[in-house]
Amino acid sequence: MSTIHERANSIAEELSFLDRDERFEWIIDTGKALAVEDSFTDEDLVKGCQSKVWLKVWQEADMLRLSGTSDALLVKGIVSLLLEIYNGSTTSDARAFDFIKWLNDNQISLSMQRMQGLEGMLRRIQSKA
Amino acid sequence: MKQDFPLFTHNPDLVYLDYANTAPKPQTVIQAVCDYYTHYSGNVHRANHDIGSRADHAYETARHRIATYFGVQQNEVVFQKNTTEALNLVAQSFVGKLIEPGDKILLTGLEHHANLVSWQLLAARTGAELVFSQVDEDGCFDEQHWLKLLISGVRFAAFTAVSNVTGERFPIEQMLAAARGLGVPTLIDGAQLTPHERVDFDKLGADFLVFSGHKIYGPTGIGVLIGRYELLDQMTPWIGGGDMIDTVHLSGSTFQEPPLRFEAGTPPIASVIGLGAAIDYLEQHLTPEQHELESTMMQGVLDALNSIEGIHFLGDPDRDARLASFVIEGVHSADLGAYLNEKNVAVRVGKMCAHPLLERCGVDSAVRASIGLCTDQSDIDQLATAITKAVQRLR
Repeated sequence: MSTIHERANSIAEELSFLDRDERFEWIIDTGKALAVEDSFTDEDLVKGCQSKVWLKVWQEADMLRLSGTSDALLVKGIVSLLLEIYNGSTTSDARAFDFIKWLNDNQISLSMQRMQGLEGMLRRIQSKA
Repeated sequence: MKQDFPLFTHNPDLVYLDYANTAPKPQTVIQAVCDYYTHYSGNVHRANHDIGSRADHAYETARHRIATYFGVQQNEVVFQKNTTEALNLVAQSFVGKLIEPGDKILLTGLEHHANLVSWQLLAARTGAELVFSQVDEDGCFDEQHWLKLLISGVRFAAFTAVSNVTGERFPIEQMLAAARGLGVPTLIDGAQLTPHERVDFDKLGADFLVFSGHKIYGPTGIGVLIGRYELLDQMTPWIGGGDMIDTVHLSGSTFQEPPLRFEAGTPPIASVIGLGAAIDYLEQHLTPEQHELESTMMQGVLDALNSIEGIHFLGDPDRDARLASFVIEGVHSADLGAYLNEKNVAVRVGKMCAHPLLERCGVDSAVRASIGLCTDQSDIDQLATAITKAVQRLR
């Protein structure tokens, strides 16, 4: 089982071959590719997002589990990244991981409004970790 | 026109279609603000030195320019922070004084939150009732319903001249005439009107007009209330402090005459001076030729948007509108806005400070493209290309 850093580094490596425009397109594709098998209710909605974001976070055998989606494609791409990075991580790793710094390091820029929404998602993850 | 605006010099690839949100600033406005801070940054109305006198002179000259532009007296121009603050001043200090519990205040279903929440606060304080003219099925203003409500007896009527969501220009001349005939005092929210149309306040026949400096190519932090002097003079101050007083004793104070009565504390001097320069710019450029050019550009925007399959407009915009809000089937507005931004096309996305209207139109959020003085054919062409690509990619 990989660690949160290994998973994040693996995505970062994939991104390192892309320029700014390609990264933006890559997020769209990532959003399109997110398979949503779970079903969600209003309780799973994350407040503060311009688009609708549903995010479930729970623990299973000391590991963090997540499922989620959004009605907007780009946000769905960001949700997909969250799921890929955090799913299966230990709670202590999840608490220590700085997702916003990771986005910045990998030159994925978000508008302020989407940042606010992301902060809501990260708060939910941290509250369960 | 773009050469007058440093924003476009510094962002040569920018396709700016968010004028209804805030307008870019011409060099003359920036220079006026800069000159104040560079050469004579004294305080107004309270300095006994030359620097202060120069600031005073520039500040009151700006007021004079604005008064002349709108065809009113200088003492009928009150500086506020923005449209919102000006609205709240009228709500609290004018309408608040004449309203009794159960009195009706007439609004429309298409108002920006500024012209809604300010009245909700007043209603909560006074027991006034807010009544709203309905929005028809196409998202348009229902004049007949508004007139019916007006005739049914209202104490005050406040309405926007141009919807910030649908771009519809209300028949304000007829509305004001009807209200005047019934002796109902009126306020016009001119935030979306003043950037595109020169208003002669007396001819218009409203009692109050409010608008924002930053939407008419001036600085942020400055808005204007224009009011008939005899009404302003009836109003008590809403915010107390320096500059608005006549005499002050520990037992009580008396107040200045309007407009200073409503300009407590040090005002945004540089912004007022900048607004004076913006008015000069408008006076020079808001010509009949410009009006026709903006109509041509708007037609271009609508043609570009109408070529998109599955597009739905909020309201019924035409070439005489200066903005269009829309949703596109199968594409989230937030995605569309973000994609356009990647292609250097700046539009507004969201609920546009008009939640009830969006709810009435049955949408969560929309995209708005709005044009202004600098919009040219290249902007339209780039919008058309970018939006076509966006829809192909995001669907």
